[in-house]
Amino acid sequence: MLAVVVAHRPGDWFEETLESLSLQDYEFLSVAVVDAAGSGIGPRVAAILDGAEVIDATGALGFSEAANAVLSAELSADYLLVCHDDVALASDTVSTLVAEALRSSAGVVGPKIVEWDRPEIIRHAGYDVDRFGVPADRAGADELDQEQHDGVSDSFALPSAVMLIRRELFVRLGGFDAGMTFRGEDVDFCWRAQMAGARVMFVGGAVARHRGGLASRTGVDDVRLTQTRHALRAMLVNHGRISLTLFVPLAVLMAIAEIALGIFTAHFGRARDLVSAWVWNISNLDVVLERRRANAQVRRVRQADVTALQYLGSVRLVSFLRRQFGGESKGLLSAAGRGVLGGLRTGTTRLTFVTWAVVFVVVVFGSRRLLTDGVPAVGDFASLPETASDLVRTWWGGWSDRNAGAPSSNLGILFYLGVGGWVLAGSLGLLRTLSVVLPILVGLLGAYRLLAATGSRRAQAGTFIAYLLVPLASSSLAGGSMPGLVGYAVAPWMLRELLRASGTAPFRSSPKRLGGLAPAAMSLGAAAGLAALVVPASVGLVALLTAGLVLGSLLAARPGSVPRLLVAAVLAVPVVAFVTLPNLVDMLAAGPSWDIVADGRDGSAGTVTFAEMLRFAVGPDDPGSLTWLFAVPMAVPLLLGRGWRLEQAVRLWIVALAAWGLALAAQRGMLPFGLPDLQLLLAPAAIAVAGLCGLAVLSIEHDLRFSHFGWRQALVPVMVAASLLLAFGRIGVLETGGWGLVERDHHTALRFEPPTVVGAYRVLWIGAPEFLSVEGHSLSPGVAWAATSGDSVTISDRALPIDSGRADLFEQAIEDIDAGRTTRAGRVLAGLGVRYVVLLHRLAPAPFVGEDQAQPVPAGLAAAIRNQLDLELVEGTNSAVDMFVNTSWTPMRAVHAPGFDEGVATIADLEAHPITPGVPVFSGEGPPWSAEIPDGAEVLVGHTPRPGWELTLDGEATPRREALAWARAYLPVDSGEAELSYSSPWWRRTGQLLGAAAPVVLLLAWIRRRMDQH
Amino acid sequence: MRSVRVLSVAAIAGLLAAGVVVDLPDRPTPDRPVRYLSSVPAPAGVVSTWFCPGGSGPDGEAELTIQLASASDQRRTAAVSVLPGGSDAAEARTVDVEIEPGDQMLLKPSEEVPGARWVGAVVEVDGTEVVVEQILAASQGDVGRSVCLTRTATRWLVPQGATRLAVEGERFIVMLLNPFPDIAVVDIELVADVGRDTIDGLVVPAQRVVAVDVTEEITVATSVAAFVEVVSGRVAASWIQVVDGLIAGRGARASGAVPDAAPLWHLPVAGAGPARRDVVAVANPSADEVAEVDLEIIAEVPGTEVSPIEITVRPGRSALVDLSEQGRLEGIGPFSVLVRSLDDVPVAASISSVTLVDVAEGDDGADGADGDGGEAAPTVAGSTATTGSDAAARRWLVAAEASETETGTEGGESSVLVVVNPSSVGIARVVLSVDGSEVRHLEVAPRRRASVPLDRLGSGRFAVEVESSAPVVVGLELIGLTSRTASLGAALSEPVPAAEIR
Repeated sequence: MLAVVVAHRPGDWFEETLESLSLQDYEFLSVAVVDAAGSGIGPRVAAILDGAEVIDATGALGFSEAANAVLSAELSADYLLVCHDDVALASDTVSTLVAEALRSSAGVVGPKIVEWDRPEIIRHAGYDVDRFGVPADRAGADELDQEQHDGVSDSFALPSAVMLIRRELFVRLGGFDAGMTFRGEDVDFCWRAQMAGARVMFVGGAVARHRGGLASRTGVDDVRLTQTRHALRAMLVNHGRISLTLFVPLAVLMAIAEIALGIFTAHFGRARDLVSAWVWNISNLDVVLERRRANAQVRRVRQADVTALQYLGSVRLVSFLRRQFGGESKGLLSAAGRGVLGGLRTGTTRLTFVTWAVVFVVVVFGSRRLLTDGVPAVGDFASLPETASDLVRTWWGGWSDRNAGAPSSNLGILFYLGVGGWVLAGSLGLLRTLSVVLPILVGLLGAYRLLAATGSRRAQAGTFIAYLLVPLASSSLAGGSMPGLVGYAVAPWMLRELLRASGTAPFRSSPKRLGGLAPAAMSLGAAAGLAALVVPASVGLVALLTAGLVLGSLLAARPGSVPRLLVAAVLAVPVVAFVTLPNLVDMLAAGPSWDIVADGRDGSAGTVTFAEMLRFAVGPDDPGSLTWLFAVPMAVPLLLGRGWRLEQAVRLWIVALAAWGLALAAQRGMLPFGLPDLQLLLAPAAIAVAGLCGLAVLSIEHDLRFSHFGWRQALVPVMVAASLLLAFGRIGVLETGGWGLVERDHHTALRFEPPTVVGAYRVLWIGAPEFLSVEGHSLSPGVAWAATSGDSVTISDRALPIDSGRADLFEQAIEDIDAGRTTRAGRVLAGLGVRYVVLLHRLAPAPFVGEDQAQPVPAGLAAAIRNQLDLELVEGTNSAVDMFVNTSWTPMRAVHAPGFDEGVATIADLEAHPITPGVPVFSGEGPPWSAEIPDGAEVLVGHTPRPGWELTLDGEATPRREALAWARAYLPVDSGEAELSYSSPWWRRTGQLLGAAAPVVLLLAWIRRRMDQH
Repeated sequence: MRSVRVLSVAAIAGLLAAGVVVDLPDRPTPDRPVRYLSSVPAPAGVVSTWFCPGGSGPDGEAELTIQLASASDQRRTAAVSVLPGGSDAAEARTVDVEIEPGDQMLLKPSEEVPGARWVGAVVEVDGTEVVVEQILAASQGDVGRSVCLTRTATRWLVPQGATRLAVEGERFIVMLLNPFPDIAVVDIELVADVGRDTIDGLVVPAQRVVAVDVTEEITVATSVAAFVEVVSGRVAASWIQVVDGLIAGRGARASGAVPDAAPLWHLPVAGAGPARRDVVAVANPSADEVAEVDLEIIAEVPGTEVSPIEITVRPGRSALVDLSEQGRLEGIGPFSVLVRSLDDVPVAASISSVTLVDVAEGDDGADGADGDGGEAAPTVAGSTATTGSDAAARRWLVAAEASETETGTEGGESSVLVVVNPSSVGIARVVLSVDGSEVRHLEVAPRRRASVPLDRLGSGRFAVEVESSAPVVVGLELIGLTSRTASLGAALSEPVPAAEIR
């Protein structure tokens, strides 16, 4: 037995290293010290180990080359104990290792490595290695040695700090890879040992202390560079040809992603190291090929058998994800240091896994029809345009076709959906389905993370399951409520960040007075801002949740958290403003608008009762009386909870009551303004209910034992029974495979002529706000209107532009109809380009939605519309709609005779002076549109006249005038090829770009923070 | 901790209870204003549209003439769309006409669609200060006139008609006009004193009129009410009663149908005396409710009080009250009738009036001459009919006409404008204007009526604008040498339900 100590200018600790060797109880141990730096350590060695040999390896470029010096030295031993110069062995380490090596016929064995100064902390317990050559320590971060690793086990690799190697193997493999100066040589060596048929064993009974800190000794922090470079080298050298063709492309892709991430998160060093690693390996390709040939000589085991011992995934990826999602920074693949899948062996982790699996299966099963047949365009679930490019173009165009048209920065979600469409190779159907189903999973993930700070996986699972059982998601889906789904998705995250910001137990993340406040506020703002990209009104949830938590804190006699909550809400505002910058720009340009919040509601009373709100029975389908059983787990933390569990329960109760109270006020018509979908208002209540269920689990876990035997113990079986009944009661929602969402939408019942054939037109929709596919304007209690362009309503039409443009003309026309002031409304609507008027009486066509769920357009208004002499009712449409064709219609963009609107001083004059239909000459999807203009014609453009519109004839701008008292007519001086275009101002486009970049910037900032933390 | 728990549980329970309590009362009803749709023609908007369900062509039972009377100080343009009968080959045609300020104009729509047996019209005027009437001239002489309708509806009621063709030469025709670009389908229920009949699935083609000759469905009925239900689309409806008999009179009576029943109706023009026989018809369209109805008399002479006439109208039936047989009405002078359903069962009311003259005063006396040359028995010179008004308004427009030397009847009657104040508490101060000039001021006491001879207001054809400090009902009675026609005005302000006026 020869101990080979590779020394490189060792410090004071070296004597302790040597002494530990001298104190070994193994009798036949001789020592050779390799002086890698030629620093003259002979006397120091001789002072402690008299017979030790000092091998001069001056000029060696690293640990590997220095250690390999024993190959050329004529030393005789069956085993080599390769050691760093900063390890101290326990007295029985060598004997234990040798005994195990002999017993197991192992080629390489290694001890448990503990901290030099804190031997109770395990530093290494063997490595798992993925197929990219990246090791993952099997010990967790700062894992306390409780003899949990004291057994003997196979390990794919061992650290070179202390490694007992059969000498014959070491020689056969040619020692370490001399090209690997520091780090990674142990993985490479063990990989080759495995190929050669040698076992690599970790012996937990043998212990060595390791000082580490190589970077501080060399003065060069090249840890990341050498690790990356040598892992790549190991992969290139040790894989077989077939597996290499698979893993090299994967490694390239991961490297590209990592480099991009490094650049975008301003971690340029990471990107540089990655590039450098690849460059180094490519430039040393000859060495790689040479070593591959050498490996072929020693290979005794099939490649597949070797790779089977390796980790299936990517250590770097798992490490990254675990860091981002709050996992341990070390022990990457192991939960609590129990190996790659060891985490699953613990009960709580298994519970998590099983819970997630069940929930995922339930969500997928419950969404099976949506996943296979797509999502009908019901309620807010507007369809998508034909291509992803259309989405991006609409977003970038800076113009909204809603109503009479208006400049708009458009919702940022259009841009991201467009990008999503590109990523999905243009499969917009799948994208649309995902956009409906994913919010549920996002919400469930948020619910799972809500109580993560408590450390109880059972509480997390309880919250998680409860949130799935709360009927809010299904009612939102069945009712076609996108605000409801967005609320369901973000409310848990908002609540979590507010609880973190409150600094109350167990959410306090820093002992400092304001510690953790800023990050929580940032995350809160980011969640609100991202939700606002889809539904601007969802920002209001922050205020609602904050109000609930503030009142709850006061009731719980913990006013200390109130200032923190308020500060967090205030600090979140700039972040929200950053993400919603385009909306802010629009608002600065056009003034504030409540319409984008109220979504066509005017504050009048609704029909949902308080009892229905408590049961979340706000959708088309009643979830049943069993929903009342939520009261049981909700009451448990109030009755059983102690300390912070009781306080948090009070806070969550008040959050729920605040949401219910606001919803009640809205439904009772007690507010002077309209509020968005009821489902959105109830989202805080839903997550509060789920959180209370989680707290119920915590209370039973922690507080029940302090109670005397009595009624409190009976709460456990009652709660279990209630939970089972709740789950049983919700099974029915899975029946349709679409969460109660109907199978057909109105578009199957409506037949619009294609605008490409008849000319551009608008459709005027009138119905209950929740029935409209787009955000509407309030018309009267429970009735809203909206105007869209073309024969289909897409998500591009969904949002109301903050600049309302000439929407007032539509309102005036409808009011005139309703008041019976006209029987020729079609002529006025023709001036607005309206070809169809559609009255929606139900959410979807009959028989998919019954008459009992109808909210008919008020009879008076419907009759008034039927009174119009130029609106022709289309017979034979579904009973859920009334569709009228405007027989006086003229295209929005058309060529007319000069002076076509003579005598029209106001648009109402069209009633007495109707215009004759123009000729639709513009073609294609615009803007821009192009057309051949005849001589002596005027071009009517029925858009809100705003700067940016221009008609060019052969490249020259044409003069224009006001037409129909609101629109524009262009007056080409000659015939020719004309182009009608709109150019958005630079400041709006800047806002759009910044707004689109904002979520990415926030994401990268978050990732960077997480990376810096670890 | 214990106190926090108790306080929290109490607070949460209290808040939940508060939510329940707050939600206990009924929801406030939507504050959407309910627009009252009365039977009174009420032009509104930039363009006022009039629906004249019409009559026949020149060779038919009652030839249609459209009269446009302007009270505006500006030239007005009207687009007259002439709609032929459903079975006629002619196509609908639109002509534009201009009306000078304060002028009146007569049009014969049948001239635009030659050969059409039936013809109706839709008149679109660029303003509200023009009233459009349809005048129906029967071949037997005499004319019926009524203000055209200003709206379409899905339900129409015709309270009164008769089909004694053989005895009285009575033809009862319901005119249906569909001005829309899509067809309408109607069901008609006919309730007569001799039985019931129905016409189901009658198609009214788009932009056409259809004349339903009730005489062919129910014969020899003294009283027929028609209930029109529009199954698909909307129509405008009126009725024509052609008569040629000793009792019923001679000529044509015409009026618009009423779109709905109401608990209270005003019949502004009524009278009782030897020279006239006024009959009030009250129809109860209810399927199962009996209507207890009072006919209250609003006399013009101050201090005259007459006890109401009490009648009972069975469900789905109509009742006739011959005012000339009511002794209590003798000598009280002209009056109006208020038809009040005591238990708020909605009814519809109309009045017909037959003018009686002695043989010596007749045109030739041939038909009514008493063969033995004794005292001349009264015979019929003319007749008219008016549907009631279920609403009142502050502004009215009336198309009037008066000769410079108003003839009047033997009893000193002359053409009059009648203003009824339906309020039981407030005085109505009324200003009458012709050609923009105020010509007369009136004060109408509560629940009283006032009449003004038309010759005091102008001569020839002219439009009278009535403006009142309180909602009133305005009617018109035109008396010629051999004819009497009565009609309602057109409301220029939003009509208010008469039943709600206190």
